Amino acid sequence: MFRNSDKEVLKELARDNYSSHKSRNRIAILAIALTTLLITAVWTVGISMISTISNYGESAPGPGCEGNINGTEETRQRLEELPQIQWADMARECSGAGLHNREFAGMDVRLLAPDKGYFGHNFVELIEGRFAQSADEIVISDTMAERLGLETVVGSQLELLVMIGADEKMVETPMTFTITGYYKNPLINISKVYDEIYTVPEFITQYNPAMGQRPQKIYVKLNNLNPLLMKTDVMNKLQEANDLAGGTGTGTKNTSSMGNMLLSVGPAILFVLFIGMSGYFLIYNVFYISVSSDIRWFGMMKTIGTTARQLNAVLMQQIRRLAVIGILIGIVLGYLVGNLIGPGVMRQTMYGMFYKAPNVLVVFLLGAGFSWFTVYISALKSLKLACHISPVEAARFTPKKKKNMFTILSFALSGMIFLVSCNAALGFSIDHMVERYNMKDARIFHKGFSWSLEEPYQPVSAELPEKISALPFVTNVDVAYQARLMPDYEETTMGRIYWPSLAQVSLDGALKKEMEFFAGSEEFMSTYGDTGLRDQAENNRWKLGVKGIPADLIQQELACEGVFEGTLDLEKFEAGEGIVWASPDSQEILRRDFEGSVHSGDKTTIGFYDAQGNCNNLSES
Amino acid sequence: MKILETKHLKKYYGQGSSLVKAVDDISISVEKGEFVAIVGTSGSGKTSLLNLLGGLDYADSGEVIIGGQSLLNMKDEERTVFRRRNIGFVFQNYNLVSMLDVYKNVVLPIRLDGNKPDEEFIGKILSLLGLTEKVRNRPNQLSGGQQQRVAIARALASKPKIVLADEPTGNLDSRTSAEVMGLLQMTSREFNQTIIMITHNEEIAQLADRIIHLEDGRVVGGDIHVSEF
Repeated sequence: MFRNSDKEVLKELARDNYSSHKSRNRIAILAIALTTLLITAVWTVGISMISTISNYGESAPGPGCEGNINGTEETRQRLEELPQIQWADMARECSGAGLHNREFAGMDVRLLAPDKGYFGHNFVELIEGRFAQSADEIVISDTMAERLGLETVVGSQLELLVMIGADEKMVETPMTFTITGYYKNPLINISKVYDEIYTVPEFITQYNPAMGQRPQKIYVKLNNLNPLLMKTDVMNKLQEANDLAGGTGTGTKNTSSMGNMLLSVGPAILFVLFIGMSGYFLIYNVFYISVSSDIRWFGMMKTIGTTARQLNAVLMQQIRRLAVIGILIGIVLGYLVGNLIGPGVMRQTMYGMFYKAPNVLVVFLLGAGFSWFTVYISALKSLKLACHISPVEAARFTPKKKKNMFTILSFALSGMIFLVSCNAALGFSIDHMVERYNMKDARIFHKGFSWSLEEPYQPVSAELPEKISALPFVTNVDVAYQARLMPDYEETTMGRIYWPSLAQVSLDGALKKEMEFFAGSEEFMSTYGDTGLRDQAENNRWKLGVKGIPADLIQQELACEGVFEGTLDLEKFEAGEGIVWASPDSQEILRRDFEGSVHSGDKTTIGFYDAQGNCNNLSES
Repeated sequence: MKILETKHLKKYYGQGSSLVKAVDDISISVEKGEFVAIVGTSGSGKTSLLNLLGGLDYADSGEVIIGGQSLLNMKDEERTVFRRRNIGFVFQNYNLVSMLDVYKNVVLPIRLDGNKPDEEFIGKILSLLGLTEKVRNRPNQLSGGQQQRVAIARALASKPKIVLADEPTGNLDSRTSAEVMGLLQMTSREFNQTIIMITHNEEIAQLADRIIHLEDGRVVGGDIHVSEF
């Protein structure tokens, strides 16, 4: 028996009703497309941000592992027997520090002798040739080959400046190797700053036995990790394995915690919700106005026997049609806009070089899903009104006046969001920011200015600024200094570590009070990290960055940084009678609770510790 | 054979001093094939009564029985389907679907019910109402009288138990009004169709078989059978 069907007539009614509302359709499509565009653009940026941050986390030495445990060959063997360890591969450092070749300037290039399993576990696949079999052979990455401009890679000779010895006895030693193969770099995202060259473990016994005395990094893959914990359990499991195997320390990759991830992606999600809300009002009003003006038609249709279900079908067919058109337009434009914005947004963060475009399918599905959800919930009330109004009510229906104001407000809100999005996305000028934050076209830093070193600190030579000045394209060079207390190192289980350039000072008066406040503040510690400030406060022996800057340069610097209080007395500064104090609360997190103890014009005494531990006082204002 | 019956039907609006008794204890019955005119001045309760008869509104008390089925306990959706199958409507302003052509407008209630139109019967109605040549025209391509003919055809198409006509000539000139009334009379006889027409025009009402006068929501002067004159 055939079942009665009203599908065809409902389709016809929907089609006819659709074509009789050309203006409504245009506005609805515009509203849906605009909402979808914004949602998709934010998703595109948000997802690219997640993949980029994740990419940043994964782009670290040992790409296939979860972290490393430091130790000896015995540690590695014990680790392999632990149930929580899937595999453990040692990658032995062959050079006391990064390779010194000029071609590697600005990079950290390591000469490593890994276990054989390391290659397979960490995605090191040979493109050509074979792995090294003797201490005079190496394999390099494809990115390194390109950097060195090698036309023929396999069989070529390469001289590396290896640091033979350890700690202060390290000697830069030129050594020539034969390249036996090259591999596809699994760390291509960081290949501009980091690269690995592989040889065999025999290199250490043969050429650099000092490195054999040091614990080495053992890269490990953990078993049974809980994916829902977003890798927060990696640290605990690594520490547990370290304790059980007698390791000397652990290290994890730059995996973001759930909190950090939310901090990065949270604004994007909030933005999507905000846009969704604005889209809701916009689309809701378009449909509501349309249904209100058609209410007598709905009443008439009910009179002649159209049920609520049938009216719902007629309206839903139109809404689906409008949504498909609007969403398709919005999703394509949103993806394009998002892809234009994404790299720009990421360039402004520390993750810029790890930018990864989002998966098109995921963006389309999320954009379409959220937009359809927005359209659907926006249409619900209008559907209810159209389908459930009685013919008599429809005849007497008058739209609420308040709705007009609501409509204007929602249109205004949507417009605001659109303008804010456009301004945020397109109004950002890298050039303007560079100009705003940099007083010069370029800065050259000593690595030890802000990073730890593996080898003894060697100051920049006095001739370097002169040599730079002599370059034909350089018009002006200024030199700034940063104090560095000697001795400047600490013995660790992985060898001697040389600290970044910091002075040790004793403080008095307002400066001391201010630093003590920060040392005692939990909020400060949780924001900036515990850098031993409390110990420093106890001993009044602070590690501070003390900069020596020419008077004309400080003027430019302050013009860029901004002055919080007071004015620069250039004469006094030039005469060495004044200092400029930069609060350690650089993000001004504590500003609302603490205005600062240090004020312009205060007199203070700073004592500088020398290498012998003597403190020499200096009064300044 | 009784096709429609109301029992003590009441519909009041407002409260206290502003209470309006739109329909006040009306009990009437209509026989199959009768053409009844309900006449009254503006505010007499004609439209309220028609809304109750057509199941478009809920009575405060009393009952409407059409073809032996009471509308009293029917839910909204049931009433809609009941209307579609048992009641044809003709309105003053035609209420046609502007984007559908004449034929599609006429067969709309049948198709909404998921049925195929009885083409022979539809053809007969269209021919009788002089619409055969206009079946592919849209309402806006027709005159007022022609549009009202389409509305009558639509009301008859599903062979309803009753046709309710609300001021069917209200928007028409006198010549077209007479023509439409003639058609209503003719269809009532031809198809033995029960028609209940609401009008304020006594002259038009004279064309019905029976006239019921309404005043302040009550039937006054009893039923008048036109043949009694």
